Amino acid sequence: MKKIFLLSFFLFIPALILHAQTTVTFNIDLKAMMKDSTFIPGQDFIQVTGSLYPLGNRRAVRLKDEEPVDSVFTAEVEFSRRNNDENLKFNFEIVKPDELISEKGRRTITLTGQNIIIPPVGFNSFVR
Amino acid sequence: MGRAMLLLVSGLVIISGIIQMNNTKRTELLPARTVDKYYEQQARNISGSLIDKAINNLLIDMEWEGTVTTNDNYSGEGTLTTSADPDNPLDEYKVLLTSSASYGGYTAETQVLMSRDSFSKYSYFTDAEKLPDGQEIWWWDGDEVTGPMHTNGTFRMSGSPTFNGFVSSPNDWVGYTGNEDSNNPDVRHGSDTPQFNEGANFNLNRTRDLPSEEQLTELANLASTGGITFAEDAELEFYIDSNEGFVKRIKDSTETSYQLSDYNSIISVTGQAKVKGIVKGQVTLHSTQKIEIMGDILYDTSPIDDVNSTDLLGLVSEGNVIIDKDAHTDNGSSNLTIHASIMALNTSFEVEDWSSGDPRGTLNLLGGIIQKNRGPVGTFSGGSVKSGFTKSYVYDDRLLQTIPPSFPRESIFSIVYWKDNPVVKSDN
Repeated sequence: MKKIFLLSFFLFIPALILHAQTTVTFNIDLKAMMKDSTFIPGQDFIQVTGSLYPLGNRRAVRLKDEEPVDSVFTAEVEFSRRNNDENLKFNFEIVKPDELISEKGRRTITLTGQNIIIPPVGFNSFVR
Repeated sequence: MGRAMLLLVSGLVIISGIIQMNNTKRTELLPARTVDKYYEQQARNISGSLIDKAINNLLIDMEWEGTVTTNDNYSGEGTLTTSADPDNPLDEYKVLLTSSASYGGYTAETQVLMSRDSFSKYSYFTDAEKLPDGQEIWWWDGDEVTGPMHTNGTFRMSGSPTFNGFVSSPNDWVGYTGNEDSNNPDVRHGSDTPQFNEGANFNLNRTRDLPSEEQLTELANLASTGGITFAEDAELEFYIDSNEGFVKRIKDSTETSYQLSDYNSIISVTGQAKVKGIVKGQVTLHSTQKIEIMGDILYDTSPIDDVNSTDLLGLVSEGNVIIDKDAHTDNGSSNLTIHASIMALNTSFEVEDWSSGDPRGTLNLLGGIIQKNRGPVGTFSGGSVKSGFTKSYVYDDRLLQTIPPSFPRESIFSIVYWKDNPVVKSDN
């Protein structure tokens, strides 16, 4: 009985810790940018930067247009449970061979320990 | 010369005599007046203390009724009683506090009318200034809002949005150029300069909680005792026939009509509700799930055209209130107009497919929005709309005084008026 209790205890605790991480799915719709060639797939790439590890000033995560290929680029980033209840400031950047295009507005979310999916808005487009 | 001097000296003597007499009289009266003033003030203070005590009781227990009497902690005597509002004796959401206190032969009376306001008084109310997915939303340059606004969260300001109604929150706002982790207002606000033209309070000592489940159950119960109820999803359209307001339910190409004046003005749907049409009269539509707006919802008489319009609609959803993605095409244009006070408790008033497709027209709202989380209606970039609607929200001023039938109330009382009646001295 004691063994069962200990076993379930050791199995349960790591599961809880894992669950408390926040996985943020960043999405961005680049249809409009592709239309006017501001973003050229294959030549340029899109990345997300932010204020909390593993994002940071010099740490960006690249987004990809995965199946279905629909010009919506996606990346999943996991944030430590230590960051729960903290505000994550983030923005998307288009990286061209000789230029970095940054967004002109601020995006923020609060990390809650539950998974968050950022709906696909356009580059430099903000919710209202 | 000598005669003139004599007259001058005599005059001075007379004047100084008069001054001396007045001073003597004043010296005699002053203590008496001071004592009277002290007694008056004491009576007034006791009366005010009793009122404060009663207000505190109401903050702790909104159902509190009863009396408050002075005890050994008070220097005088007094009693406070509660009663119905004499102007609206049947209004159960108002209470009149009357205190009467005596001290040293003086009696002071104070009357305070307290009211549990309806949420419909707000032009804009949120529990949190975040999208349901956690993204925080900013008020920007060019945003202009009229009517009372409140959030239990934190307003985020970028540039100089304009607020032409009283704005409140328990939390100080944060500026785009500021630092939200700072408690120093200058650092927190940065260089952003929102315009609060009717005043603001960002230091409320408590949140204003959204309605409890009890209130929503009560609304559904009201519908089942004299109102209109639907036990499953319902597609509804308001319309007018022979100058009377109706609502019809459309199901499998069959229409069933209800004349609104035959019922108690409450419609409740157990499930999802779809709605559009022209409203004549006063109605509140409650839904246990989402309410989907399928086309224009207009008052028969718009209060913009006629300030005496009595048409009023409340939409209360225990889910979202969603504007259908094709709602704007229902009237053959790209715009959509809604006349209503809208409450979305889980969680938002939002537009279907707000982040995709070409920009639609203008979303004209006459009324107010009360929601748990701020919902998106579109996206913008550099001042132009990229998807969804351009917003044009106008507050319906009538909502300051008039309430859609049984629209949910706040859980706390606020003061309608505070009246200090003149202090009276007893004859004995």
